[in-house]
Amino acid sequence: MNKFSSQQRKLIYLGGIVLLFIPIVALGLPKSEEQKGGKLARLRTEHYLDETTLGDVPPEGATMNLVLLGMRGVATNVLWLELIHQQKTKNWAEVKATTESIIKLQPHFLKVWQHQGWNLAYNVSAEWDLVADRYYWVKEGIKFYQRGISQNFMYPELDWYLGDTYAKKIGRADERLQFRRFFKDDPNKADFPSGIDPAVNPQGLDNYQVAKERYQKSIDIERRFGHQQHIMAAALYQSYPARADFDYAAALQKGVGPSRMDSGLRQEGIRDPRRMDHAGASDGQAPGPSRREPANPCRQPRQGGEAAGRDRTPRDPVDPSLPGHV
Amino acid sequence: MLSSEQLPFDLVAGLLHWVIVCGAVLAVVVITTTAVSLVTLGLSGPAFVVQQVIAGVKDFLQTSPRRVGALTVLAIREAVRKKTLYVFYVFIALFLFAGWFLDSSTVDPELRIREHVSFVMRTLSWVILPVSLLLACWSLPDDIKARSLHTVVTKPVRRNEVVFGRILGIGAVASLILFVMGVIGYVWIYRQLPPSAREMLTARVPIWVAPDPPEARSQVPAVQGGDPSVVQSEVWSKLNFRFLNREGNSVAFGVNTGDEWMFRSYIEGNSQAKAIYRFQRLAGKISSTAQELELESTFQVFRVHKGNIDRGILCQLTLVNPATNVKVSISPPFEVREFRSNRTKIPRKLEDDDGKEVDLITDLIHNGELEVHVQCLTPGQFLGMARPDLFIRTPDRPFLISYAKGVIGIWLMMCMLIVMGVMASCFAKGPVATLFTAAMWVFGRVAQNWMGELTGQIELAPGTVWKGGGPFESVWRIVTHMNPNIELEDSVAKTVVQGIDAPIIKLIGGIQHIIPDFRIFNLAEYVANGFDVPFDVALLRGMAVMVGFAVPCIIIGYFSLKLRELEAK
Repeated sequence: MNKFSSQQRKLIYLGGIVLLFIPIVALGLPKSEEQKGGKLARLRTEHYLDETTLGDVPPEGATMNLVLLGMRGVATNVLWLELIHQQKTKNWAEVKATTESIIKLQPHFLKVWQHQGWNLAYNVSAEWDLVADRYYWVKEGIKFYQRGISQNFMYPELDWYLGDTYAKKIGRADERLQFRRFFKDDPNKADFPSGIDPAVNPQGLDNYQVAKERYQKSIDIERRFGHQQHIMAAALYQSYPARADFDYAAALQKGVGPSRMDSGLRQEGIRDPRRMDHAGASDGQAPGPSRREPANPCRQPRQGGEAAGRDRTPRDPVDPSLPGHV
Repeated sequence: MLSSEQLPFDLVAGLLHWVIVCGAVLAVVVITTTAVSLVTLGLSGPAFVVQQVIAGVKDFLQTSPRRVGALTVLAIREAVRKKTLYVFYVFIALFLFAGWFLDSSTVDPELRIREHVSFVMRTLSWVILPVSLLLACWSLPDDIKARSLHTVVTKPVRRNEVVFGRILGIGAVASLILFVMGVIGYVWIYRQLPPSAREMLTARVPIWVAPDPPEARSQVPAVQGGDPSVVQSEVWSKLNFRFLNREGNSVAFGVNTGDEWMFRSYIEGNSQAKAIYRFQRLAGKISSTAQELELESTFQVFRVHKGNIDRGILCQLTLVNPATNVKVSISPPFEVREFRSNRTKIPRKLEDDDGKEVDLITDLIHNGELEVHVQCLTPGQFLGMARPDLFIRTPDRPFLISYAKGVIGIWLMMCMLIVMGVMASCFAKGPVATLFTAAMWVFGRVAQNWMGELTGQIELAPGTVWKGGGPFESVWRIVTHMNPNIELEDSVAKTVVQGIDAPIIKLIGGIQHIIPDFRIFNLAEYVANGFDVPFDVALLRGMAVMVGFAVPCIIIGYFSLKLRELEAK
């Protein structure tokens, strides 16, 4: 029935494979720094569908996704359940590790970045009693947002949320006096002897000034890449840089600007914490306890010095060298 | 900070429980096999069953260590031939890239230690357990398929020796892998942590407050807010951990501040509210020549109002001799650092509240008992605590010891899986045995808690048990939109639904006893939090469960292999 011998058939199959291979190579050739790649790679780049055009690609996340063989959704669900349990049982080290795993699996899922950044800066922070500890977790939330932005630089929302954290969490929380002071004089002197955490406040500005920058970048990104934000009406959204200016001015006027922090503390009826050692027991507390420095989660020097912190500073989302920059 | 009660394992009660469960399972097996033998072999069936049982007992009594040794060597060779040791490459690859997965931005050394230790312990489990499971489940079926087992059983070898040989051989290979990986993991932790964190690697040896006598606990109002006046004062005095409310009356639990996790309860500041910890049997644990005593606490804070946020909540510890009522308030009170260890060193010579000089060991500890009263001094704020939140810290042990014990926990879990896998492979083919063992493992990890809550053996929170009934009652409640907290009205439907649910819940209770609780082998929480793994609380429990399940598994495996037709591949 079959005129061909076994060997001939195999040769025909081989020929077919080679023939099919040619269009596959032509279409699917991966792009490199020198070459634009095949048709599919060019289309992906053109329409911002390529992972690398969305933002930095974390190698570990890409590896994990490959290893999971399509079970990413299941793994993510399990991790979310674990995270909720760990947060309920106040296991903060595990909360952080699980959060890292989730974002490695879903690096371009903006809601995850938004939710977890807010979770760290607001929820986890509020669980800790000492203000220095709370500030540490606010910074963790900020750094988390920054990493989200570096991996999703074309989308305006994360920049806005980051600006909002600078403005509202640092500027309006119950602990605003301390937070605003810590913003320019970090309590972790061991790691940040200059008083500035470069990952959070690289230029040593006021929190409202940094917030204004982030709001403005968010608006610029929206205009540049055409991805509309879905947070609020456009007019309100675009008013936020100006609002940050108002808030900064109001803070200075109320005396909670950095240069007038001490008078601000007095104005709000709070003694200067640096002189608490000599103060009587406020708050009706029993007199006489030996005063200790507030517990500092960041007292120990970091391995590798500050370089690690600097390295984590995200890529500027409006860097002209980025793909898609107009 | 530990998130569970530290209850010592009662070996005698455990043994009794094991005998009862094994007896019940045995009774079911005897009845079933007798019935089956009657059906298949007629009246001679029961005699055949008895004959097999007697032959089995003889086989076990005449087990030859030499033959078991030879079969063990055979199993080791097979495991090595199957390239089991390639798992090292996977392990090394994981550790080479582990730094990527762990966020290096974590500055806090305590958090960093927890992250790294948890990662190593989890990786060890994830690498070794699947390998052990696959080896155990596929070893015998592969031999039967390749007919190499036929050669073995034609020799003067008993089937129980085959089972023993497989378990020991696979166990030896897997143990070697785990040991090498454990050493690499330890070195990796040490190398990966910054020097400041390395200094904090330790194994604290705590003396916790012992659990309350069950008879005393059963007499106190279970639910928060229960009427404490109905309890006799001598009952309160038997409790090792209790509270006083704001009026100074004894209560079983403190205030519920609305935390979803009800592990801790709270005392109100600047009131008569106290948490009372009574330590026992200190005589042998604290040297009479000790110059100081160290108390460590991990209390939590609940602020009702903002207060002075630049200062922590003040906590006062008072040492009390339970017999003479001599009291020494530790001065000064300390500010609680939440989620961190608060250490208080108490010198040997003290001044009591009346100004008299007292000796810590001779005047405050009576018959090995010492009470520590905890009060919150900041008005309007609350301090939260659970039983493991205050302990006496004795000299630390090296971190290596607690790490080794953590690895032993993984080893016990691995042995458990090997025994179950070999047992399953004695009566099922490779894929079925793998699915069976994996299902037991997963079920034993995730469903034990749920089953315990459903059957009422585990409280959802102190004094709170599962509400909403079994599966049928739950369906009924969903259909009728009825909250689990609402009592069902007396009706025929209620009787029917609860009547169907009752045997189902009993069945789940029974299943709970025959599926091992794999969670107890996970000792990473101790290691990661810097505690030595307590033998009586954790390791003994793990060992007892492993042995308790291994014995019936080996017997089942033996009879399955003996009665199995090897030609049926």
